[in-house]
Amino acid sequence: MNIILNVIMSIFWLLLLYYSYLTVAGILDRYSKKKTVKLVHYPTVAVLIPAYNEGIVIRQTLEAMLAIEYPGDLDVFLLDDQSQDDTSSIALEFTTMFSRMHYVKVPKGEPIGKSRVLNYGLSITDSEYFLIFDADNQPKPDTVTRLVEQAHSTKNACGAVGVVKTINATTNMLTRMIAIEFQVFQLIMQSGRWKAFKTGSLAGTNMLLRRDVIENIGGYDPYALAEDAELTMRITALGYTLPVVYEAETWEQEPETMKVYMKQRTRWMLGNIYLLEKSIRTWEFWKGRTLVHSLQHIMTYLLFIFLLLISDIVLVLGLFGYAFDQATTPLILFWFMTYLVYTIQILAAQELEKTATPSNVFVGLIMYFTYAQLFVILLFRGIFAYIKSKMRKEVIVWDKTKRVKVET
Amino acid sequence: MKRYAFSLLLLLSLLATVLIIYQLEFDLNSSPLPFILLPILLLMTWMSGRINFLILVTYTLGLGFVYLVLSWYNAATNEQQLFYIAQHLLSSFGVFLYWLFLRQLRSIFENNKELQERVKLLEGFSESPQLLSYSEFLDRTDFLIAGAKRREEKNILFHIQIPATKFNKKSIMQQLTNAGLKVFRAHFDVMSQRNRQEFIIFLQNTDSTGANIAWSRYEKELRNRFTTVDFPFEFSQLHVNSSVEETLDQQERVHK
Repeated sequence: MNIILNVIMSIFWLLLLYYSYLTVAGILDRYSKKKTVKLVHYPTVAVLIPAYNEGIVIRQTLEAMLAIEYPGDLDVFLLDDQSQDDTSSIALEFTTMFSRMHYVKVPKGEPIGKSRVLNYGLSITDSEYFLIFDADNQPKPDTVTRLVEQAHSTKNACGAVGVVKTINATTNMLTRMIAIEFQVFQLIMQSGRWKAFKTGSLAGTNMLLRRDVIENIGGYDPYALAEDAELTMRITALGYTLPVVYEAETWEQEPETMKVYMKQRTRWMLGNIYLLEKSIRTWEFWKGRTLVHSLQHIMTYLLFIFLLLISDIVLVLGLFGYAFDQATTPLILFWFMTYLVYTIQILAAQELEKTATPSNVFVGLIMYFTYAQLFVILLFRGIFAYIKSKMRKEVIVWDKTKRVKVET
Repeated sequence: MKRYAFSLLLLLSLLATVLIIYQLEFDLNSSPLPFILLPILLLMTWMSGRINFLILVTYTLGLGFVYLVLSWYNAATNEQQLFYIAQHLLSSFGVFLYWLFLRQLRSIFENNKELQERVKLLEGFSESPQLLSYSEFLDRTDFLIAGAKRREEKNILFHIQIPATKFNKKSIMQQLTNAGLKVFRAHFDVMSQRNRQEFIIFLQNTDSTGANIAWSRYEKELRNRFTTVDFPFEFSQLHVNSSVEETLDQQERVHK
């Protein structure tokens, strides 16, 4: 029993040290001065917005796209994947009036989902760079310029990744926690990995990429539900880097109900399980900088949740009188350190973002006991759905996140 | 006032935490806390806000690992582990409060410095509140010169310089200012101190004749204030074409 416990605790050690290291590296990176490089020539950029039934949000998104200020040529393509609502009529209001805006009806095809739509978008455009925004995004006017400048001035960069902020963070406890989770991911994980290993990962939206690189690797994998993570692995395997640009901000909405959240995150979990399976078969994903992503993937989507489950079991057993007095490892202190590292990351992100209000700090303190526990359910839901699809030999289809009207 | 109360509250909480830690330390001689905590607090006193935040995070995480290793090495019982956790929480909370206190203090100092600079800028170096600061004087005269150019009018600048050798420069400047404020129309003609030795008066829409009349009125007022036959300053009357600064620079080049 003690041997098993010691093995598990060794993994605990590894995780705790790794995340603590990332926390400090992330803060250091955020505090370091970044050079802003103005370019003589700004390359052409195509903004691709995959859309399906986005009538509720698309007007605000297109207004934000028109407000983008970019010194070079910039075109916005709304890639409509057979919407049934008023997405097309709203989009046409813009395309008939503004030369920058283009409406593209994506032909029907299989498998349905964001990856196929983006591949179609790539096939009909010819800009030097392309930039992905989700259909509910409202970027800051200088976001594209900042991303292009950073991509051009970073050695070996095949693009750049911006920051995603939550527009409906204050709606309820769930959106507040999602906003905090995003802050931790971007300000601690992303920046920490950039500082420590000079590697960044794509975030699904607000990401700039070099067309030639993506075309050379065959575009998006149409079967990947977590297409951003999958693409990150392939471009990192080729030796390219993805710098993180904190000034390049976009605002997007997050699920406001638990039902929508669970649906969205189960899809993400399925996408990540697909990627884990692909990683096992692909040797290139375990070399050089890609190793960082692969290990991070295993740690976040497998080990962290697995250890969280163990920690919960120990806690419940402890509450029922099984005190683990004979254990040769300090279980209580391990549990405390897990909580500490998790919470410090949240508080550090809040301090860096200047969002450390008393209510946000309180939410940060209880997230380990509430929000983090959802990942245990998500892992089980994901594994169950994955095994089911494998047994029935079905292709897991893309499931769009339901939008809500957010007044700005 | 709210910030003052908050700072005071922080200081009191900090003292209370230190006392509790001190109390705890008496019971546990083997604790590494006193050797770690004191240098950390001393270091934070001299470091910038950003470095202090990094110290706070590193200290909190680092101390956790120290206790983890200690309890693993000593095969700590559940009670000992809980005691370590209590110690960690208390000392981290103490460092956190100290960081918050320093941050609060620093923000008050920075705010104060910023306000002082703004006041200095608004007052210029003028000790007379009715007088324009030099930057304001330049802004105002630029505007007047532009208008005069359009209307093809002339402007004159009275430049009064107190020699560097004079001992009572401050009093001389005071008399020049008070006399100027009495004689000239403050809303029409503008006056300022360029530095502690130079006093300037800008007369808009006037020629040499008008300027001579103005000077004789000013001179008469100055005669009442100074007893010496020769004034303790040098006076020059300058035509302003493009800007006051340029006119004064030209004057300086001529003198050199």
